[in-house]
Amino acid sequence: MNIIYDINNQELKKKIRDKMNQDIVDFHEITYQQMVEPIVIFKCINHEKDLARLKKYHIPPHSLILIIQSGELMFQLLEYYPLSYIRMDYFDIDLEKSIQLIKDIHNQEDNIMTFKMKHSYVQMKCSQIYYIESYQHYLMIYTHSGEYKVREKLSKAIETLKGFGFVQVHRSYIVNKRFIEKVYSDKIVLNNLVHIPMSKKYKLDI
Amino acid sequence: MNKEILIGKKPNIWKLLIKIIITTVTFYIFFIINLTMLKDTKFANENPDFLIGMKWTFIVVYMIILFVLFTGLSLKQYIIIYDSSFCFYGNDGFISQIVDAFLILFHKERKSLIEIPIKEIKKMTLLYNNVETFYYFKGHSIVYCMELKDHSIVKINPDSFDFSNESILKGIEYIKNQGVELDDPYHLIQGLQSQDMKFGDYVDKVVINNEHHL
Repeated sequence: MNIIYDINNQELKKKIRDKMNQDIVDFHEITYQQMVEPIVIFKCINHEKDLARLKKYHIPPHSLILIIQSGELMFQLLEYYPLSYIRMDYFDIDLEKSIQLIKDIHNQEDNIMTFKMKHSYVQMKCSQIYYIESYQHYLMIYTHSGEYKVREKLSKAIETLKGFGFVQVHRSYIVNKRFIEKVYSDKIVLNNLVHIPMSKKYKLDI
Repeated sequence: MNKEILIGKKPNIWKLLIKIIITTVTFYIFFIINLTMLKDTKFANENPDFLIGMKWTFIVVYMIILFVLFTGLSLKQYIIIYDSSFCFYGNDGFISQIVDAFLILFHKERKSLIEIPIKEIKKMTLLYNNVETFYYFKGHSIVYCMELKDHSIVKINPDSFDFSNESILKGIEYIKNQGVELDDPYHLIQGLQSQDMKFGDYVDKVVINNEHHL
């Protein structure tokens, strides 16, 4: 994994670097010019304009960990598809969570997904998704904390989620394996008691 | 809470019917006037197919206008706060717009874009947004930003400002009473409550103040 520290405050930079050295062994510190995926960028943001100059580097989505002064920036910056945020008021907790997330992504245990719905955004962890249903030309995403209708193809969702414990059980359904309670010949019951139809074609994948 | 709180306006089939009737009458008058004027021209007399072509053009244009009016039925975004959930209705894309228009027309259940159980919301931050309409008329809407208990982040940014201050205040009050932490960094609630100043003017003042701070 490659890491960029775009932080002017040396004290802050040292704190993050020390934590990274302590928790994540396998990473290389690089610069924007050497950018190679997989990459994580720690960037200090005081205003949305601070991100504008990063556009020329074509940063892949979900690579930025933004260090922000105020909580409201967290929502304003969603359109940049960040990986996570470190709020200065909750620095230690957020840093811990962000590093845990990096570890989870690195070990293919979790990932972050951001969906845009016109001018609205939803960002969630893959591990929170129960299942995804293809609905007309949209996807219905069912999570522990809500339901979201997003304009996306099921094939693209499968591609993103394949490595993170998701399995296709029907031509219109993808299920998170960790929430499967029982498997019947024609359906799957999730631990929130939702019944999902299962096709013979996908039975072997479970 | 026995009744839902509606923020914004639900699509109204009767309004659509009135629009269709007005459009049809206006279009018919326009069609008759044009056809009468063109019928006696030298060109129309020499080319009898011209008038038939004109009639078909008018019919096609009329059908397009009807289709645009019909699909506009589902264009409005609104929020409904039920007893236990916060739902944001709208559509993203033309296909969804057409499907939703049919669902509204036939009184079928419409899927919300976002549905969140209120008990899952940890914190709600109120921000503002500038909204522009087709007529270059500017307004402001409230952006509902939520941090959920499972660490998901939701930003609901309605692109219409067709709402009443009372309904927003009622909705915010209800959510707050359910134990959700509320953050209002721009004191927008104060703006919504204000009797002396319109909400739009209040936000304009906030925008100017912000620019001074940057």
